[in-house]
Amino acid sequence: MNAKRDALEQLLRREPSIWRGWGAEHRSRPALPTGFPELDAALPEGGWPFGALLEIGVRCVGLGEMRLLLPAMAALSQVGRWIVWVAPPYRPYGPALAQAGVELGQVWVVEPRQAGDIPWSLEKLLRSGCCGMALAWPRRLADHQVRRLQLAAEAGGGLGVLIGQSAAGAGYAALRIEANPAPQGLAVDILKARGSLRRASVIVTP
Amino acid sequence: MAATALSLPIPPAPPSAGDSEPRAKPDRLWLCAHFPDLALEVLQFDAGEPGGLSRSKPKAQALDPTSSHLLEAQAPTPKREPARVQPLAVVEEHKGRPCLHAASESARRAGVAAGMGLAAAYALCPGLRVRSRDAAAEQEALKRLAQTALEFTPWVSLDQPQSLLLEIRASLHLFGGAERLREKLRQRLLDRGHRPVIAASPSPEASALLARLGVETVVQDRQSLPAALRPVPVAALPLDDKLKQRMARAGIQLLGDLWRLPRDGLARRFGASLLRWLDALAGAETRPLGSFQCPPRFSASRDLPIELERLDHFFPAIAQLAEEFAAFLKGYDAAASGLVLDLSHQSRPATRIELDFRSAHRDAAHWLLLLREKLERSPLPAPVVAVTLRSEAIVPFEPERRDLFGDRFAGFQGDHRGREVLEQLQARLGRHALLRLGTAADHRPERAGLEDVTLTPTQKPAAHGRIIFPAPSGRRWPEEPDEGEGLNLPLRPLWLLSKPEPLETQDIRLLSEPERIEGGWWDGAPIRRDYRVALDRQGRRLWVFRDLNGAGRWYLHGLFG
Repeated sequence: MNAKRDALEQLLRREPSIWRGWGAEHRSRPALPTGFPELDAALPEGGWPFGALLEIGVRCVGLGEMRLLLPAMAALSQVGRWIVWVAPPYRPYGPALAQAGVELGQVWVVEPRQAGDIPWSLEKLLRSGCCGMALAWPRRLADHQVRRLQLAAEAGGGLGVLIGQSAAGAGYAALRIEANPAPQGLAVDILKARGSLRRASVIVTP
Repeated sequence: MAATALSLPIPPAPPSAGDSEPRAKPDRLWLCAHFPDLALEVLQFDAGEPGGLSRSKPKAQALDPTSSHLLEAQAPTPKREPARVQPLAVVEEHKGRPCLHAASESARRAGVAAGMGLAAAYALCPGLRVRSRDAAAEQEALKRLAQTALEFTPWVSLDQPQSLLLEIRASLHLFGGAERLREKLRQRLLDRGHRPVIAASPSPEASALLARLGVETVVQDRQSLPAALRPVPVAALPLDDKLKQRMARAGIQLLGDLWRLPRDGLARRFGASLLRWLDALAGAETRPLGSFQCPPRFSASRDLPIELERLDHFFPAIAQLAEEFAAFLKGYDAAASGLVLDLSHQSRPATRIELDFRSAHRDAAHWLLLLREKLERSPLPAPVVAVTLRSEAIVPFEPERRDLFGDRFAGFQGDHRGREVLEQLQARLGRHALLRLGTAADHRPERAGLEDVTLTPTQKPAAHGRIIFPAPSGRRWPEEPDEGEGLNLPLRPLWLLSKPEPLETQDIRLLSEPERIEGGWWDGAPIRRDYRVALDRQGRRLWVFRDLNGAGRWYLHGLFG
């Protein structure tokens, strides 16, 4: 009986897509600390879900959403994983990344000529297992594309980040947050988090 | 240890020609295979490329209607040549006028000979077909033949024109004697479509001379060498014409006459270089020869049974070629840093697909992935009749290095996978789609960020060295540690606009003290700006500056993401 229970437990643990109710924090992969203790506390896994997709909703680019990601980026690049920017809206500035502690040797910028190549590139990168974080600013992604990206991130074990105007979709991403500028810093609303039904809102000061 | 793992098979140390060592060691034996008709053969077969290492057959359409007969004519008994073979001659510019370099068998029978003027040749043989000489193709053909010759000895030299020199003393035992070796070599060379004249002697010069004169002989030791060379007429020696005329006037007709003369007199009369050449001919003088090292290359093709249009139908042929190439590379302990795939069409130029790898490897499955990626995205102009895979970008194989303790993050699969995915991206998105970021030591923000396009497969990733920022010019805070590290600069924006945009000041709220950045007088693009952090109405943090060189206008230069 006990052996059967253990087997079941292991099976459930291996399969991250099975939702096990509140507080069941059995994850096969460690979460990635965001670098902001207040945000870590609010997230059900205690950090960015590694091997998953993160959607950040912003009204426009430049509200401070990148500063949310910089500590994690620095940590990932320092362990030798890539940070890949797929079709960024502007060109990222090397000195700023270096100031944040990101190893520039691990940073790639991919500039596809056609918008249709963005999801393909993201999927390849996430699935490769070399990519620590892959960021993209897609104009519009179909649900099945988001789903594919989520699966690719699970397979490769990286964090896929989609930044854009938050669309009310099915939301296959493991974590959806919205960032808004606030007087004290940045207000982060957690819209959907795998493993929790709690909707939280925290103010972080990057 | 690492060095041996990285090197291609090292060719053996060059034996020096005509070593005068104690008698215990037998003399070297130099075999010279001279190709009298090389210039003709090359022009007949240039398209067929009977490459040394390829398994391809010469394509049928590439061959002349005459060439099959010519192949027969190249056999040792070339007596039954059909009359309809058109006489052919190869012409070379000699002292400003076209001059025959070589003539085919039928042309020779009509009286045409090498060295003749073109007009004289036409007078003798009105139906003569004339082509100009392709020396580069000849050299290529010689190199391919040298690769064949490497089957017989590790030491092959191309120092003699139109000839191969092989040191065969060590191989005699294996092949059962010089005669047998010679016949086997001849057969292999004939298979390649080239007719050799083969002579062997202890002196490379003597072997080359004998082979050029068409004397197929094997002289085993140095004592009997003068006897073999004595009847050679002086006129046939590869010497200066004037020198030969002077010799003729002095009554020297044969090589034996030269040897009979006293050495010092000979040197005074005809120069010391002649004496040295005679010594080399007799095998008495050591002269180092350049060795031929086989450059690995690969070329193979598959003719498709019918014209095929769909990728799925002809891709298996490509897969076979890739497998062959991978096996070839394994044999050489080498890896490829690029390859070229040609898809031939009927009556249309071939479609060429070139792949450059970020780092050399020999993973056929990966090539196929990349090729499929490219082929799926490039519509073919016509159905495919044949596929050819070639590569000359072959480098020593470098085994993948793995971390003993693995990576800290589970699931990390190392450089190998990374390289693959980068190549896939590059194959689909184009060469300029992948950028790297860097920093440069320049005060001007637009120059401090570097975009480094990494394209070439040999280029190493950007160094992970120290990032050095310029200290801001103008005033300097005394409490700033002066390390040149520069990370203590005021915060830089994550996004920098490629061109500063003019800005209306009423829209923004300035947040920080100004940071003066000034510089660039040294290269004609000076700036003098006061940078500040500002907040716009949407809540974005901006990096703005006031241009102090201009009219004090405000510009937006970056966004803190």
